[in-house]
Amino acid sequence: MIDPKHTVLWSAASPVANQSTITLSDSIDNYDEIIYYGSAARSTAITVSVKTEYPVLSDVINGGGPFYWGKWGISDTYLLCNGTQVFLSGNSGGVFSSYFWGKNNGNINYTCSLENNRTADVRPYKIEGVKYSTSDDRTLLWSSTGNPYNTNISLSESITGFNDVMVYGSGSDNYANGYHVSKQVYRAQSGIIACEPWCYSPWAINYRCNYALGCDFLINGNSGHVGSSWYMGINQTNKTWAAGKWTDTNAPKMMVPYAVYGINRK
Amino acid sequence: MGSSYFITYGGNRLTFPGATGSVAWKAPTYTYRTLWETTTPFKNSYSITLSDSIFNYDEYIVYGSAVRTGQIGIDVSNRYVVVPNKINLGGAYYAGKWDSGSTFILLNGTELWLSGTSGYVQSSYFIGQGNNTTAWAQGTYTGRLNDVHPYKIVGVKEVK
Repeated sequence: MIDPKHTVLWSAASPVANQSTITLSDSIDNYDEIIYYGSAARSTAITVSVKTEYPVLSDVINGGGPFYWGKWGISDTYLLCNGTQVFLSGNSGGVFSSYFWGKNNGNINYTCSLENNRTADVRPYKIEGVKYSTSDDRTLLWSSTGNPYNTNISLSESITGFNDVMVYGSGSDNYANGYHVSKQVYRAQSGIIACEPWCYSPWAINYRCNYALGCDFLINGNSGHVGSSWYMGINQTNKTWAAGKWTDTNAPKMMVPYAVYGINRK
Repeated sequence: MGSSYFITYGGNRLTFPGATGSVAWKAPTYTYRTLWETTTPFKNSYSITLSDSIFNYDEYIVYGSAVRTGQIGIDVSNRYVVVPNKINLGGAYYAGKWDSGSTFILLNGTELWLSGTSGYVQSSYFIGQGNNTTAWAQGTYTGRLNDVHPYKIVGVKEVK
């Protein structure tokens, strides 16, 4: 596996507090991807530490942050999405609320909350920029600048020639200059594989929704189909469960794939 | 310094100071070592033993797969940072539509705890949107083929 170049753009000795701004040593517009490193102190025995990766959209506010999805701790039955909202644009960043949503402890009820400065929540402590070069083993198989809902696509070659498939996705967050971004890596196989672009993301800067966003996306050889995009998670101020789908090509983009790469050519 | 700007969030005004700068790129080199692998991944509530302690690595990758239908395959990789001398919570997860014949939209996967050379594959579960509704849906399972289960763990070490 060939790894692209990395640059540490910001780091802190410990995860930073919510409602703060950060300054990067270089603009994210100079990079293809960014990586959020985040950690949470859950107990003396358990620490959660993650890296969450996103592609970069230049000249706009990129929504994202470090997130974890799984069990809260060993001694309880909370099953949650947990993390912290971060917005980045150029050299500037804002670290906003932490939040969780998911299954309540010991029952099947939905639970969620927004939190500030809680050490048990996954919060960022480092951000890296990632820059690919022409010598890196990354082959563009398909790209789009439109809203490819409910449509078939053709790839320039079959994914079966690669070990892995990398899918970039993006969507508008209904806020001026704000966008969701998504990077996922799947193992390439023969037959139909699910390659959904999805991410955890703040919905909009002025709202306090926190969603998992994605899009139905299937690939088979050098053919693909983009279906509906979807969201689910915590609603804004009332903190209730929210979910739905977009299927309208004229609607603001919720999350759709915009690039497919083959990596690690066989 | 470049020009600054601000946004409001949750009633708070946050100022983004403008800045400029340039830094040198670093081309990291990683070594990858398979620490555990199985040909029968669809099993919960069992212990595993790694061939080397995860504390000897900077990161680890969990590969997971699920059998959804005869046609659709799901095969994912999730990458985590290793926390030394602690129980590392993680697992193999997938988010998306359950299959082509339903409208379930779910986060689905299996819990995995690692510490040293020991590991434990916990329950599988999903949380998300109900079928043909926007209602909350969830479930916890053991040994269900439909759920994403881990089948390989790879330790990642950066060459300094």
